Amino acid sequence: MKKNRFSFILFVAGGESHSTKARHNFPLFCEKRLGTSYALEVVDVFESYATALRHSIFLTPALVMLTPAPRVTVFGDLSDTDELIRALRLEGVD
Amino acid sequence: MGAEKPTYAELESRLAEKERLISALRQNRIDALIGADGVYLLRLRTLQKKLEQSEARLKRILQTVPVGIGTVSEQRVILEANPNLCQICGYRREELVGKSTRMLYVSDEDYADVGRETYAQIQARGQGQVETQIQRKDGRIRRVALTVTTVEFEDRSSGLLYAVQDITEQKRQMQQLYRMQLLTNKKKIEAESMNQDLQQYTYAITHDLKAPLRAISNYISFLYEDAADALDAEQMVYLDGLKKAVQEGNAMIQDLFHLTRLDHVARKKEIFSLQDILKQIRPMLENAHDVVMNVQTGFPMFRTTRLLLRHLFQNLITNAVKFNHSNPKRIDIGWQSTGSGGFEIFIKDNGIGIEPEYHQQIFQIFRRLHAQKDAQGTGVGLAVVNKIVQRLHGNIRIVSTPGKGSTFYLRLPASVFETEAETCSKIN
Repeated sequence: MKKNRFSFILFVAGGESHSTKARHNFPLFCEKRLGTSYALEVVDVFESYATALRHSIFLTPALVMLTPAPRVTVFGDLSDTDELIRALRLEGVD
Repeated sequence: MGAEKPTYAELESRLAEKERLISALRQNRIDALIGADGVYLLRLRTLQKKLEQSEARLKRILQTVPVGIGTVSEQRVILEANPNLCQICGYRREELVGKSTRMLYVSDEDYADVGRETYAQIQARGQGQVETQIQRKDGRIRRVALTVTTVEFEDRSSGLLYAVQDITEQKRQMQQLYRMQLLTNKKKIEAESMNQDLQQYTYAITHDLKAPLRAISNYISFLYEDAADALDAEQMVYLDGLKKAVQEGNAMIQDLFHLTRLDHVARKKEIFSLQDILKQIRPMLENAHDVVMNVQTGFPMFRTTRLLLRHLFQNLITNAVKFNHSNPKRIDIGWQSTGSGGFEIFIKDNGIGIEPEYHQQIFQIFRRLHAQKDAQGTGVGLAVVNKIVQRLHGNIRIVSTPGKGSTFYLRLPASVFETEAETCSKIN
């Protein structure tokens, strides 16, 4: 299995509404745009907010793209596909 | 990463990130903030803010309502008191909070009664209302109305919420009003019965006086028939005088009788013209052939009790003829609108006139200004006129110069007349 090109951390706050939406929206987006070549870690800040602080994340929901560098952060419920494509530099990627 | 000297591309991507952050914040697409000391849910922060706002609002309401409001524990210890409650009982808030409500009652009985009564009412319907008295700090007693309910719905252990209204003044005014009403009612009843007595009295007198007068009149006739030959000239003059006096007495009784009956006249309204009335009156005038009556045309139709108007004009016109030595005796009747539907009618004669100082008095009963030889009258006529005018909610005044005739100005309101609208609807 080849190493995933894309790796993400999604920071959420328990079952809060925007967090829940982001949790639902982002895997759907990935499957559509990236197939299976991605790794996603979901961090609930109620369980470990230290992880969030370590990544300099101070609000949720927040998505951090670790690779490919440089690192990018997107905020909100991740329902805006166009914004995601632009932010994650996926223009032209199929 | 070029942390020290970012490239243009890096700067641009950081800017883009900041923009995404700002727009997410602006659009409220954020759940929680993460600080070094924990996670803060924005939802709770909003709730908290709302709660604080609502508490502040409640506090403002409690501060400003003109009702004393306080909370009391299940053991009847005062927990809170708003400014109005403090004002009612004359204590500062600090003097009340933490004390038993017993301090506000006059006696142990009152304290126990209110407790028992409100408890029972709250049990029965969730809310209690009692009236009691409290003693202020300065010792004064005030009447208060208490409305009591549990702080939490149907939970007595949550404490009680008291609304207190000082009704001392209200009570006093009510009592005063009640006493005044009793008094005026009593007076009204007295006045009514007096009025009724007077009417019955007048009626009885006029009715009962008629019989002896008729008897006297009959005996006078017998004397004329049987004893005329036996009487000398002087005695005949006495007899004539007696006859005249009896006739006057009769006329007076007749007028009084009419006056008392005015109050009993049916209030049935009819539509009729001034001409109708004058036609009825004319044959009843003395020396009718010497009277020239000139009436302005186009007068509006009356719509009122016919009998009242007949008496009214009959008395005015009879006076105009009676107190009149001119030949011919002229009576001019004219009218003008007073606006708002009413009319002023004038009745002008060329009679003997009345001195200005008597203009006020003539409408009172038995006011006769002229010596018997000048004219005859009973002194009731203008009193009848005045009474009728009052009953029709109009007014009457006189303009007169002795020797130059009198003019009566009679103002009658719209309610006495047939309006054009009504006429039209009747035609249709």
